Amino acid sequence: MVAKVRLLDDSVINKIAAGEVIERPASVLKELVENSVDAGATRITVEVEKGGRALMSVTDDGCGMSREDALMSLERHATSKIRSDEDLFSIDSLGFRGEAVPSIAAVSRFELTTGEHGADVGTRLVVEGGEVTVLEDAPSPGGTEIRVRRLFFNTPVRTRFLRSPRTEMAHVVDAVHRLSLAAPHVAFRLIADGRRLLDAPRADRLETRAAAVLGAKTAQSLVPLQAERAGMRLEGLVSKPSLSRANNGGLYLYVNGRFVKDRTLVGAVLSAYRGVLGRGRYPVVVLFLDVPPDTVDVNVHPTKVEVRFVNSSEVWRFLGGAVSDRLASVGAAPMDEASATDVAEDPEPSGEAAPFGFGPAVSRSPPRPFARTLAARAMDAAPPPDSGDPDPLGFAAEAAPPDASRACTARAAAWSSRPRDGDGWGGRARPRFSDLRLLAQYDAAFLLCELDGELMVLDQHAAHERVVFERLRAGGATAQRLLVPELLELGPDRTAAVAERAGPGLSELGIEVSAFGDGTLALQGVPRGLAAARVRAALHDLADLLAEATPTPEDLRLELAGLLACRASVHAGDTLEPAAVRTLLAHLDGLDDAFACPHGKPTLVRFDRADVARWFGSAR
Amino acid sequence: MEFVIAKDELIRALARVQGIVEKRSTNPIIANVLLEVGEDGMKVAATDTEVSFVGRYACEAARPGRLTLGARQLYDIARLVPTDTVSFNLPEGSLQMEITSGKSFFKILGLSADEFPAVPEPGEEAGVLLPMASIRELIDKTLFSISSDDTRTGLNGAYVEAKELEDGTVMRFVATDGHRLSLCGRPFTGSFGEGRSLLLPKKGLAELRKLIDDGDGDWTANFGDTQASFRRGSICFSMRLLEGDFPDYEQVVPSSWQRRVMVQRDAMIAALRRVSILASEKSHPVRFAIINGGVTVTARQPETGEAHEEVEAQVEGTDLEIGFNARYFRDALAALSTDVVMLEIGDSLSPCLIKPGDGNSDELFVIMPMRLE
Repeated sequence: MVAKVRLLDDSVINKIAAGEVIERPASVLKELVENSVDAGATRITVEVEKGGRALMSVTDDGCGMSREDALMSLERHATSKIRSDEDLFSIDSLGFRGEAVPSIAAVSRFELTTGEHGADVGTRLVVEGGEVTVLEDAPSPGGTEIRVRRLFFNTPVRTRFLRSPRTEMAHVVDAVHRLSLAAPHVAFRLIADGRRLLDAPRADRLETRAAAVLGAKTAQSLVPLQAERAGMRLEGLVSKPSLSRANNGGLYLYVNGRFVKDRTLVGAVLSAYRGVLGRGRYPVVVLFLDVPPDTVDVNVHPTKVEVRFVNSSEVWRFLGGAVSDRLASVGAAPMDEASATDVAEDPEPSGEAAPFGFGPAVSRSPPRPFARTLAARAMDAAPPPDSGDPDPLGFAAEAAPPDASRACTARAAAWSSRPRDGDGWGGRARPRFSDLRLLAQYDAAFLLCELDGELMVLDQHAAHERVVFERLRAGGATAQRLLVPELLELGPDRTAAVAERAGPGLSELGIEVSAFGDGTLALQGVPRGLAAARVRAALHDLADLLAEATPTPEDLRLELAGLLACRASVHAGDTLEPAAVRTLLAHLDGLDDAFACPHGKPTLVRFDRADVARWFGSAR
Repeated sequence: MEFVIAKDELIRALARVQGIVEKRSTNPIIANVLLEVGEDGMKVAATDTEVSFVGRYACEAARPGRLTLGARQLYDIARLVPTDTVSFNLPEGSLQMEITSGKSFFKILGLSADEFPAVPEPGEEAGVLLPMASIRELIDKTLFSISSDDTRTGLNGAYVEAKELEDGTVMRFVATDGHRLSLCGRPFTGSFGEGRSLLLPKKGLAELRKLIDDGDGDWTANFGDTQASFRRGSICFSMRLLEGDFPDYEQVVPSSWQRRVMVQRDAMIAALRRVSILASEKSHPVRFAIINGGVTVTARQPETGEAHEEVEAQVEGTDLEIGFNARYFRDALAALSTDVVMLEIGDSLSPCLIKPGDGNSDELFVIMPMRLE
C-alpha cells in the first residue's frame, strides 16, 4: 500500500510560517479533531480530564494509518494532505501544516493507536517528550485513537500560561463546538471529567446540528441562508432580529470549512445587522463561505483562525449583501426593544442537554456589559457543574472585546489569540479602576496596583491604547488646525490613496489632509491632544496599508483609530506620574471594554493573595 | 575650605538652585551643588547640563577651597539649623564637610569639585541690556505657547531675534506649538547681531522666569554660539541654546481680515471660563458666533448639556461661526495687558489674530480654529 503520509519538500516547509501550533489544550484538540475529520471519520469522541491537562483523547472511526504512516506522522512537516508548492495554494482539507502531531508529541505523553480499515492488527505507539518509547502491534481500533497526557510536562514555561481547568475547559468546549458545527455529518461527543457536555448525533442538516450545539431555543430563531456569486458560495444559518447576544461569541464563520476570525467577515455580518439589532447587540450566525482556494490565503497564522482574501472588499459585499437580503426577507425591521430578549444571555443549550448533567442555572448575575470580556474567569468562579452555567459556549466566547477583535484581528491573532487572564471578576461586580491603589510602576511599563487584597498589574501601554482608541473611534473628533501644515512626501500614488480613499474617514477622526502638489500630502488638522508628528507617523503607516489593501470604510476607520491609538499612547519606558495614572484609571472606568487593548492583549492581570502566596511555596 | 556664612544668605543661595539640579540623573554629581570659597566670598553653582546657575554670596572666608554637596540635603540643613550663622569646615584633603551651628553638627560626604561639569560664566563684558519689565514680558507672553511635545525640537523653545520697527529696535520672542503662536517684542539696548536668531529652551526660560521675580534690576544677556547667559548683579543663569528649525513665523501671521472684533478682555475671559465648564475634555472646543454687536460663546457636550454666553463686542464685517480651543484663547487673552482686545478673523478655517486693543505694543497671538461639525 502506498504510504499516505509524506515529508514535505523543504521549499514547502519554508513557505509555511513557523510558529507555535500548540497554545493550550483546546488547540491540541482542534488539531486532532481536524485530523479525524480529514480521515473521513463519521464519529468522533473527545474526552478531556481536568481541562485537558490530565488527559485529552480523540477517538475516531476514520481511515486509520499503517505503521509506516503512523511513524511518519511524527516527523515535522509530515502530512498526507499536501505535496508541493502548488498544493499549498489550493488547500481543501482542514489541516495541512504537518506540524501538529509532532508538536503535540514533543510536549506530552502521546499515545497513538491506529489501524487501517480491514486490518486486524494495528499499531500502538507511545511518544514521550518527542521520543518514541513504545512501538508495538495492537488490536486495530478501526480508526485512530490518540491520547495526550501531561501536556507541557517538559515545558514548564508553557504550563505557567495554562489557566485553571475550568478556563481551559471553556476553550475546549468552544473548540469542539466550532468543529462540530462545521461537520454535521460527523457525530460528536464531548466528555469532560466523566460528564457528557455534547452529544451531537450525525445530522443531515445544519439546523439539527445547531440545535444540538447551540440549544434548541436558539436554533428556533435561526433561518437558513444560501447565496452564490462569482465563484463564492455562502450557506448557513443567521439569527432573526429577535435573537441577539451581548457579545460576538455567537459568530461562527468558516471559510472553506475552517473556522476563522476574520474582520472582513465579521464586519460584513455586523454591517448587515446594523440598524436591525440595537447598539452593542450581536447576532448568532453559522456561516460557511466557500471561495476558490486560490483566492484565499489561510496560511497567515499557525492556528489558522485568520485568513487573507485576495479580494476582501468583494467578499465583504457578497457576505454583507447576502445576510442583509436574508434579513430583509424575514421582515427584519429595526429592533423592537421589548421583543429583543437576551436569548443568548440565558440560553438552554438544548432540550437534550439536561440529561448530560446540566441543570438550569441556579445563580446568574444580571447581564453586565463587560461580561463578555470576563468569559474565562467567570468559568472559574461559576458554581459547581451540576448547578453550573449551561452556557459554556457563551463563556468560551471570544475573550477580546468584539469591536476590538474586529478592528485588529490580524494582529490580535499574531500576538496572542486572546487575553490570557485577568479579565474576569467571577460573579462579583466589576471593580472601579479608579478604586485601584497604585503601589508602583514597574520597569516603566507596568502599573502595580492593589484592590481588595488582590494584586492588579496593568500594562500601561495597552490600557492607554484602549482609552485613546475608544476616544478616536467614537468619531466626530474636532480637528485642531495647524498653523503650518505638515508636509508628507508620500509619492503620487500614496498621496492620492490617502487623500481620496481615506479622506472622509480621516476627517471623522479629526484629521484633515489634502493633496499638496506633486506627491505630497498636507496634514492640516489633527485631533485634540495628538501631536502632529504622531499623526504624521500614523499617516505613513496608513499609506503603507492602503498600498496593499482596499479596506471598507468601516474597517479603515477602525484601522486608523488603531494606528493612531498605538502611536499616541504612552509606551513602555514612559515614566508616569501618579496623577497621570489616576487619570488613566478614571478613563478606563468610562469604557465598556477596558480589559483588553484594541489588539486584544489584556490590559490587566490580577493575582489574588493565594496566587502570590503560591509563588513563595506557601499554601495560603 | 573654611568659612562662616549667614543662615539667610545660605538659604537664599540654595533655594535658587533646587529647581535646577537634576535628581534623577545617572550622574550623581549633578544632583550636587558646587561650593567654591575664595577671598571675595562664596560661589554657588548648579547645573543639569542644559541650564546652569552661578551665584556669588557673602561669607567670611577663613581658608579657600571647593567641594560639591547634595543640593537637597544641604538646603534642608540650611533651613533647619538653630543659629543665625553657620560654620563650614573641610579638612585638607578630605571630602567630608563639617557643618556646625550652635550645638548641631553635621558631617557630609561630598564629591570632588574637579568632577563637576564646567558651568559657563561669561565675564563682565557688556552684552544686551534687557530692562526687567522687558525680559519678564517676553517670557510671560510666549512661554505658554512653547510646545511640550518633543517630536519637533525646534518648537520646544522660544525663537529670539532683533527686529527693527518704526519706533526702535526690539528683541522679539516667538513661540508656537503648531496650533497657536505668541509673539512679543520689547525694547533693549546693545547689539544682538544683524540677522541673528536663536532658540531658548522652555525649561531654561521657566527657570529664568523664577529668578526674575527673585530680585530687582535689569538683566544683561550674552548670547554665545551654544549658550545664552543672563546676569543680574551677583547671579548668572545660563542655558544651552536649542537646536532645531523654527518655522517662518511671519508667514503664519495673517495680514488681512474679513471680520474684526473689539471686546473687553476680562468679560471675554470670564465668559470663556464659565462656558468651558461644559466643553468636552481636553481641548475645550467652544463655538464663537460672531454677529453684529456681540460674540456668543457656546460649548456643548453631547452627553451632558450645553452652555452659552453673549459677550458685547464691536464687530466689523459679516457674521461668522468659528470654533476654538477655549484654553488657547484664554491663555492669549490672559497674556495681553490692555482692557480691550482686538480679534481679526478671516473665515472659519483661517487663523485668528489677537492683538492689544490699542495696537501699540509689538505683541500678538495667533490661534488656529477647530473645525466645527
